[in-house]
Amino acid sequence: MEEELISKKELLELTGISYGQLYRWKRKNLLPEEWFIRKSAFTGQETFFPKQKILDRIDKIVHMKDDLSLDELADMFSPASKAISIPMKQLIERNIVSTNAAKTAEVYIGQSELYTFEQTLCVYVLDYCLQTGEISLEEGKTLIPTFLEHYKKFKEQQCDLILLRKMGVSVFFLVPAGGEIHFESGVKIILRVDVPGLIEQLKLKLMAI
Amino acid sequence: MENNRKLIITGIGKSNGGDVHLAKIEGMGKIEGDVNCTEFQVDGTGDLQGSLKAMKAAINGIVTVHGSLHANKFNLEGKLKVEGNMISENIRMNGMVTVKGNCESETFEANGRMQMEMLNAGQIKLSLQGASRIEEIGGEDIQIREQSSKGFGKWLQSALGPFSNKLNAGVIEGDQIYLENTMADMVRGGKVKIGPGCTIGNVEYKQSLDVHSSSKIIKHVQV
Repeated sequence: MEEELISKKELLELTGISYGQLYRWKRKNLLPEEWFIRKSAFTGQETFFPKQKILDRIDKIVHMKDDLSLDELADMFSPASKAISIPMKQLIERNIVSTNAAKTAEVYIGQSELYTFEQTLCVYVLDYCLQTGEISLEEGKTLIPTFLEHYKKFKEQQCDLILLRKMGVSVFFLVPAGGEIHFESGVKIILRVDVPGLIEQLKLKLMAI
Repeated sequence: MENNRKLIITGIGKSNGGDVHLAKIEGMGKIEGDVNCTEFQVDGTGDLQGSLKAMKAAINGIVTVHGSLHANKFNLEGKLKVEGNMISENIRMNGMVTVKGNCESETFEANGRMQMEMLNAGQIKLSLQGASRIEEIGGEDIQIREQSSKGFGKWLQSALGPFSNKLNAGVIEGDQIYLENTMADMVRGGKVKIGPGCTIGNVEYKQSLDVHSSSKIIKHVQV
């Protein structure tokens, strides 16, 4: 996966933010360290960023910084789970997850009134996958235990969820975000879910509750 | 969590670290694990094998931290070496500092000799004494000045030559920049003022550029 890069200078020109702002956001952990890619250029060291990701992020920060403090924003962008519990009923009522996904997940998570952030995320991811229409409900049932068991092993690191299919057999797995993977022929990547992106969306939606 | 435990080393001692309210070394102390405390204080010599997390840290003497250092408020008189990153809100230092990783703080006020990979702070005020090397400096307001020496120091300096107090940097980027006695490959900023004794490879500025007659700039562009 070759990502398009943008130099710091171009980024500042394009977005109109200043060096000071960029450094401050980095200090506040609004921009993850992995995005700062140092490369040598003809002028010496130069910093580059993954273009699409950084532009999306800066766009969000610029639009939301009037409503939220930088610390609140940092909390939203961080992959760390929040220490909260959410009533499942409310999640369905607010249309954050579909009844279908919630019902499927219930079997594995257990029937509790309150869900932790991680469990909620799991249902949210399942819901997202179902919405894409790429996976069947049956496959969704294997997703939940996989996700619940292995997601916490990534801790602060971000990860992607991948679904493969070969000759009708589907396999779910989690890899570090953006990591490259290669397969034998005949394997089809059905879905690659950007989990950090979903975390961000979910946190934003939960904030409204 | 209410925690009233204390970790105090007086004289020569060793500890395993842990979660405490106050961690204090008077004399020579070695801590063989991570320390998580509200207040950290060293008068003498401290050797931390792990990382330090403190609300407030005050060091008078020599301290080595093998992990990283987090302190909301940090004060140093003496010598500090950090192998990992140093993250703080408020740093005040006087002495010799080596940080192998990045140094991040809202305010950074230092006097002495620095060696760092990266310094990222909102307000940077650096008085140079001796030769400093910082790979990358970034922030809102950056001021780097030569320490005006007096008395014995002045005599010593005249013996060592005019270039003893200087900063060697790779990239300096900020909204407002003032530099003295600095050698840098690249300076980028809004308002850039180059004081005496600088040699800069490339300057890119937005609003204004001022250069002292004794300084040399190879190339400059307004962007």
